[in-house]
Amino acid sequence: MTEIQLTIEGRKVKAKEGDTVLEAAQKAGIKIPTLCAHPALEPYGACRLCIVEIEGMRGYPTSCTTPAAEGMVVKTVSPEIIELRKNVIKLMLSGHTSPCFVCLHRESCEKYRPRSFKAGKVTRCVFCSNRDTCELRMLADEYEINDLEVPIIYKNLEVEQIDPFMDRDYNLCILCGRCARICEKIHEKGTIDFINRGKDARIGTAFNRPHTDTDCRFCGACVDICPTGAMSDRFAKWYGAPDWVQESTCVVCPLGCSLNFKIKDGKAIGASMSAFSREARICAIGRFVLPQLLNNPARRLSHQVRIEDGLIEASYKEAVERAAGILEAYRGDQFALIAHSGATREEIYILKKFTKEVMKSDNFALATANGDKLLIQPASVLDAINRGKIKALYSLGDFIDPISIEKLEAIIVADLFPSRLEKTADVFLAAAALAETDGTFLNSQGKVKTLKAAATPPENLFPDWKIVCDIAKKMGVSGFGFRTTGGILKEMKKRKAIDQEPPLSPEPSPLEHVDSLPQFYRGHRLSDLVCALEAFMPPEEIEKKKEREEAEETPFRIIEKIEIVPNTHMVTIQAPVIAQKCQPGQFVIAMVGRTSERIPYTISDFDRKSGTITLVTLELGRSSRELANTRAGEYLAHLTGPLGKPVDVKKYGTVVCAGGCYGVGAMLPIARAMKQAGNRVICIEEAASHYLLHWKDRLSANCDELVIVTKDGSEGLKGGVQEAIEMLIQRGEKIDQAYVIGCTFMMMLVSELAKKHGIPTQTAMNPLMLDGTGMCGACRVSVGEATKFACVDGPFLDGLKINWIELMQRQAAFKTEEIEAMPQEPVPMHEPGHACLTAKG
Amino acid sequence: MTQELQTVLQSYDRSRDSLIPILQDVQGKLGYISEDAVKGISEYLRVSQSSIYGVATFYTQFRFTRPGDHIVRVCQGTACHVRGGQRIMNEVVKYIGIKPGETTPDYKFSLERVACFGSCALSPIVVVDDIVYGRMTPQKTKQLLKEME
Repeated sequence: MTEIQLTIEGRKVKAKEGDTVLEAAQKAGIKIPTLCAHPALEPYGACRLCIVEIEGMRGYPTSCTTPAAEGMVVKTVSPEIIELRKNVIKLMLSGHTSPCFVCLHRESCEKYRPRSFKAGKVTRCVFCSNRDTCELRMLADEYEINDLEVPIIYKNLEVEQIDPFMDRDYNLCILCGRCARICEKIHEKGTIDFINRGKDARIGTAFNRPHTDTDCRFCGACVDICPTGAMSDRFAKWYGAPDWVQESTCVVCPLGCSLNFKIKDGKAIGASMSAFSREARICAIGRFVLPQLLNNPARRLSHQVRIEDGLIEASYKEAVERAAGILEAYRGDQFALIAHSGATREEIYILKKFTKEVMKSDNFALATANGDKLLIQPASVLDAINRGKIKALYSLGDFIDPISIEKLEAIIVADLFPSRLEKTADVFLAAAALAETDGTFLNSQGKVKTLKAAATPPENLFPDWKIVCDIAKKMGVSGFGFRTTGGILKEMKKRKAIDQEPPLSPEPSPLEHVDSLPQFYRGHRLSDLVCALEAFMPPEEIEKKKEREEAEETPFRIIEKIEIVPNTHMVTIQAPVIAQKCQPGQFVIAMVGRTSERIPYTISDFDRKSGTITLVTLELGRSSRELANTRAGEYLAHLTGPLGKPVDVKKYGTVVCAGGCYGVGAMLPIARAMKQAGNRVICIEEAASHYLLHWKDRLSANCDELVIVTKDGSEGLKGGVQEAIEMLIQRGEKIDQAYVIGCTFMMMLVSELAKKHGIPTQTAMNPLMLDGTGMCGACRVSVGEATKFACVDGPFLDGLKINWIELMQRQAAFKTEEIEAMPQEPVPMHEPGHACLTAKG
Repeated sequence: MTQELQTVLQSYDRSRDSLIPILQDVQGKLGYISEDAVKGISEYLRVSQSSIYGVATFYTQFRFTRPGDHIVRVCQGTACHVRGGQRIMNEVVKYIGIKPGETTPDYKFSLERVACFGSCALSPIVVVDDIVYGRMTPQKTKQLLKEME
């Protein structure tokens, strides 16, 4: 290929003929910003960020689509180019939920809130799972965008959580088309593309079908290539950016595909294809299911040994000793070992060697899955078990049925999950596997693939080869002193014991269609372990999951359920006794289902006559999602209240009631009561942007003045509650008492200001809470020298004296557990009328 | 794939360039672009269903639901608007009980709004099944629809 020379930024740069100006610049180490461009994709020219000036060419050509030519003189930076790029970014941010960029409190927000909130809908960066890795955000920061000059438009498209594994929020989409282009590149016929036109243009499927009703293979390439948070991996999203990535091999089916494990704090939280190409594509099991197997709530994390008729937890040493002791008595052909086809070559070798040399038996069998059937080969082993010839079994999974189990005297199981076999086992050894182990794997194309131990196994859990070696050593047999799989491989080579026969390829290929995805791992039906797979393969027990539909009738009927603004839900519940007794400032503890957490919610309104109370909540995690997904006509499992102390309603003079987020609703009854008590009441409503403001009419009707303040200045004052209070002070308002309800961060900032001006301020506490009656002490808050319980001394406590930092630390105590508890089930699309009421645009 | 669709497809090259003419032809024969038609075109042209749907939704000329037996278009262009086009639309909406862009459940009528028909001299106009009715009033329009039932 001919070499050409051009000048970029005054430097002589060499390039190949056919290179674009962008490629030529990148090769020379000259950075040009891009968004729609991606090394795996053909030039596209959609985002206009890579514009440059080229001598002799009109205007500002996009460097990603302009071929480099001999003698070209290119400028990548000039005041005009910078200005144009800034405008491009601003226009993108205008159609993205971006008030955080222009917020006055961004710096302290990120300091005190290092992780984003697990919101159901992203209404700003602090609610976005992609905050740490967002390419748009990085560019906006690089170009120092802190004023948009254009309004932020929330498109109000329903968030798509209907499919397994992925959430799609096209309100965040900037239409770079990377997802559609990679989908077409990998699958030839893509599942998604641009649909509609003009302002309604978006990414979508034909006829807006859910992906399960299309030919989508759930390879996740779209999720991995998206520069924003529009597409996300439901399981991995809230863990944050991975610490590192390790290439390894999937062993669930004989294809043995390469994949990259994403590791965070030692855990494999995700996996993706090793390159964005058709050759490197992987199936939904590799992309989404493997991490959910390793981090599965059902996973056994401890070893167990049998005591009389039950299993009790044992140390690894005890379990190995017990296994060795039992096996001593079953040497010879009365012993069998069943391994699984997902074991590494080293593991298979060691397991065979153990069977042959330690147990002196020929009964080694391998369980393989064929579609929805399990095969044990050779079949003679299963026959021998059924004929009672085999008395002791070492099994690496759930392979044999109860009738066969009955015939056995001794059972040792090394596995990850509970099973019928495990229940009857004499010893259960919890094993490390998949991303936690290393070794080699012969795939169906005859290639030897490498597994790398990337994730840290749970404490005291070891891979199968190590478990078997330790048992062999305990039984006093030499030749099992391996420390690494490398040592095993060396012996295999020396003994010429390497199996060259590749396993059969699964037909049809799981890469082509979700109907042919592997259904088993170690004999366990994957759909029993990973609920999202139910969309493709029926789980064994179908009665699961019906719980919500058959929810019991309780007295707590939901009268109305509305999403007032994106991610903010109002629930009105029949609760006559609570409605009769509650006072402004009190809260209730609600349980949505019988197995739900008990969660405190401030009472946002009550109607003594109709016997109802109203709660306003933000969807920010598992329990608030349960409440957000209820519908009128359903029942809450339980409701306790009113709890906590009411606010002290009396005549103060001028009272400020300030609320943000869910606190907007919660301040209504307080404002109303203060007004009735003869106070001059000023309400302050804070929101990130205009599209989150709500209940303005209800508040206006119950106060003397309503001050609106938005973080992006799109309506009312620009800033937060503290800026609104500053404004009131500056115009000469004397504030005698303030009530503040909202997130801890906002209440802290407001309290700091109130302290400066000596305004008595009561803030509504929202710490972790269990019983709500002062027994457990979980909700303790340090107020000056005293320790107060938010449930019985609060929820309103003296904001000027609260130890806010300690409160935030306590609130963050279960951050990881809260992420682990996030539900993985798809959420049905909301019915019309249930969806958000915000006007479009 | 229906015989009708197959006949349409076979008269075109298996090339992406044929997509819009095929869509127009399918709509001309079937009245709309059905999900089955998109599937058939996708298989014939080896273009993904989402791309076909993307192209079809880009142009307002394509529709995706079965149209009614009579297509009623009420002009809302400037001239028709000035001379009461909105009142005619309101009357039609009230009379057949659907909004523009919808079809009655019995597939009798589909209602569409058009921006201008180029027959401003006759404004306000209503077009039913490609026949232009000029100088319409709400009353005359209602009468016209009544006669179609």
